[in-house]
Amino acid sequence: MTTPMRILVVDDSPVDRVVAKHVLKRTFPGAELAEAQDGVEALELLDAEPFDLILLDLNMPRMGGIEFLEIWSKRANETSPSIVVLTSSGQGADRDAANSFAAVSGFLVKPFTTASAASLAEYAKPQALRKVRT
Amino acid sequence: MPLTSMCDCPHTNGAKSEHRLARQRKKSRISSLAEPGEEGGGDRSESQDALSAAVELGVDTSRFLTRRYVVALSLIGLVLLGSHLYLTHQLSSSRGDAERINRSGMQRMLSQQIALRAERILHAEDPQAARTERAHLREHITLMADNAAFLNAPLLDGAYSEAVAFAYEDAGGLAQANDFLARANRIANGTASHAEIRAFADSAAQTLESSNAAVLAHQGAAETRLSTFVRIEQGLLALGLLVLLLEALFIFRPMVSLVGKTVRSLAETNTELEALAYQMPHDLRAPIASAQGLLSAVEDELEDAEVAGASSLLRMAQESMLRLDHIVSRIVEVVRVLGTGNRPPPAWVELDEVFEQAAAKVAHLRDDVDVRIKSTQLRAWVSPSYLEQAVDNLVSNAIKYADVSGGCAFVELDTVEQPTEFLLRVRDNGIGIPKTQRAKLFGMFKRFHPNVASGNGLGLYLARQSARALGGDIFYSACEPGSLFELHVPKAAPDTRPTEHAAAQLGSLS
Repeated sequence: MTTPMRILVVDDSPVDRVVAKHVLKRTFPGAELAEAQDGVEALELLDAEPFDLILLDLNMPRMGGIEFLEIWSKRANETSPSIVVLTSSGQGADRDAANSFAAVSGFLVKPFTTASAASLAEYAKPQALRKVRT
Repeated sequence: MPLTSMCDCPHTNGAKSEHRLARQRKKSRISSLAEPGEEGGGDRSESQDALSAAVELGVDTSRFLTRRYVVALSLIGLVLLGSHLYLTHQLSSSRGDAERINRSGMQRMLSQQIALRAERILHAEDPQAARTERAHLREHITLMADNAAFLNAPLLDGAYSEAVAFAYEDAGGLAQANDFLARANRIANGTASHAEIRAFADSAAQTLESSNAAVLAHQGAAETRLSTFVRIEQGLLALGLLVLLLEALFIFRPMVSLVGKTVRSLAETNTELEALAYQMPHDLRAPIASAQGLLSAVEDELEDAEVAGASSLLRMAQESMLRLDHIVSRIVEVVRVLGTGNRPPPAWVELDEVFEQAAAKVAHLRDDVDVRIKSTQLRAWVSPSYLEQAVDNLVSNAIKYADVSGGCAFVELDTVEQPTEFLLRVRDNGIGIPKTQRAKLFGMFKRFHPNVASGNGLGLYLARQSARALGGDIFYSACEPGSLFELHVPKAAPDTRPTEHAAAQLGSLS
């Protein structure tokens, strides 16, 4: 029996978390979804559970996405989940800052829809996608 | 609204802040320059007012600096002018010194030459030799008489120093000279006897002594004048240096300080505007993007015929739009507070009522918070809208974050009157602001506890800007439990605040 794909949504906006979960359920049926409202909660969850994909907002109180990436990059290895930044800011500076981290494999600008979620398949690691297919 | 804000350095020391308040008030006036305008037709007016205020501030600073420069340069000019006038006077009075010393020395030499000619006349071998000597003698006498006339003129005018006058008058120099010339003339004219010529030649040593005294008197007078000149020049130099030192301390140092503060203020304002320009697009776009995502999700739900789910998502989209509306409204408030044109006029404000109204406005948010207002019956002469803006935001935050977990959530509001200001205090028993976040407490779009209450992170920013528009400020301090915000509102100068009766009359007239 194969474990389902596990996706962590990190966003301080409850509304955006609802939207993300809705879209992910339709895009990756059967995937297990977890949510964190800032970088601190995300690190706690990542310490406790394995994930295959992280959707990461940038602008969050307490610990934002860039600060999270700075910390997470020191821990990440080849088996670590892919990270896709999902933010309402399309500014070049944010994009450059996020893409400077090797752990980041994609950058999406909100709104998050089933159409834009299709590109997530390009960013997720093959083994994660195999979980979805099974 | 999330407890937000932050001050650069939270503290409660109000006494220290007066100086900073003035600077911040000017800073706030400049800040308004690049702020977005109010809605509709207000944009152009707000922008123009802000520009006018910035120009006014620049003109004020320029006038201040110009006045200081004028004073500084005038003082230096006065010292230079005084030095020049004195130097001119000294040069003028010393102009004849060299000639007087020269001519008095020549008199000494002539007295000996004349005595020598007399001696030669006395021993002339033939009449021709005697005539020749008499001719030379007359030349010497003419020259000596001319010198005497030159040297005696200042004596008659009383222009000589005491020492010179003594040499000529009290010591008998003048009488001796006149007698000497008279006797020499008799010899030159051939009317003097042999004995008289003999006596005249023998008196040469005595004449030399009085001539020496006159020369030394002239030399001494010149040296005295020169040393006095040197001393006074040294005094003027010392005075000039003192003036420069005083200007450095009381004019240039404050000017440099002012320029430095202005530059720092502009730099801070620029940083704030850059932060606003960076943050505002994100915070304005976030609720729009959320709504777009929700509407897309609604479309999905409707395709699946999940009407209930679609309805729920639509409600959330509506809330996102309300959130956007709220953010835009607050930004308009920010612009209004930062704008300097058409500032609301001051009026007498009952501070107890300001607290009561602020609490009433957010009473619907929570019914489990005990709001305690300590009545002080104090009144302040301030712009009511700015004061209400500041107090409303502080009270709203306090009520939102009051902590009921201990059994009793409370908010305490009171006012303390100090000699130069009122201290409006807002205390809650909430979760407070983490130490690491306090530096950002009064920043734009700063939220610290989004999981406790909703907000857009503009409340404390607005409160502080309003306080600064009043000439005051807000400071945060942690207390156990909760937070304490102190709103400093300076008292209006007595000559700028009318009595309440007069204010009422003004109000009725307007």
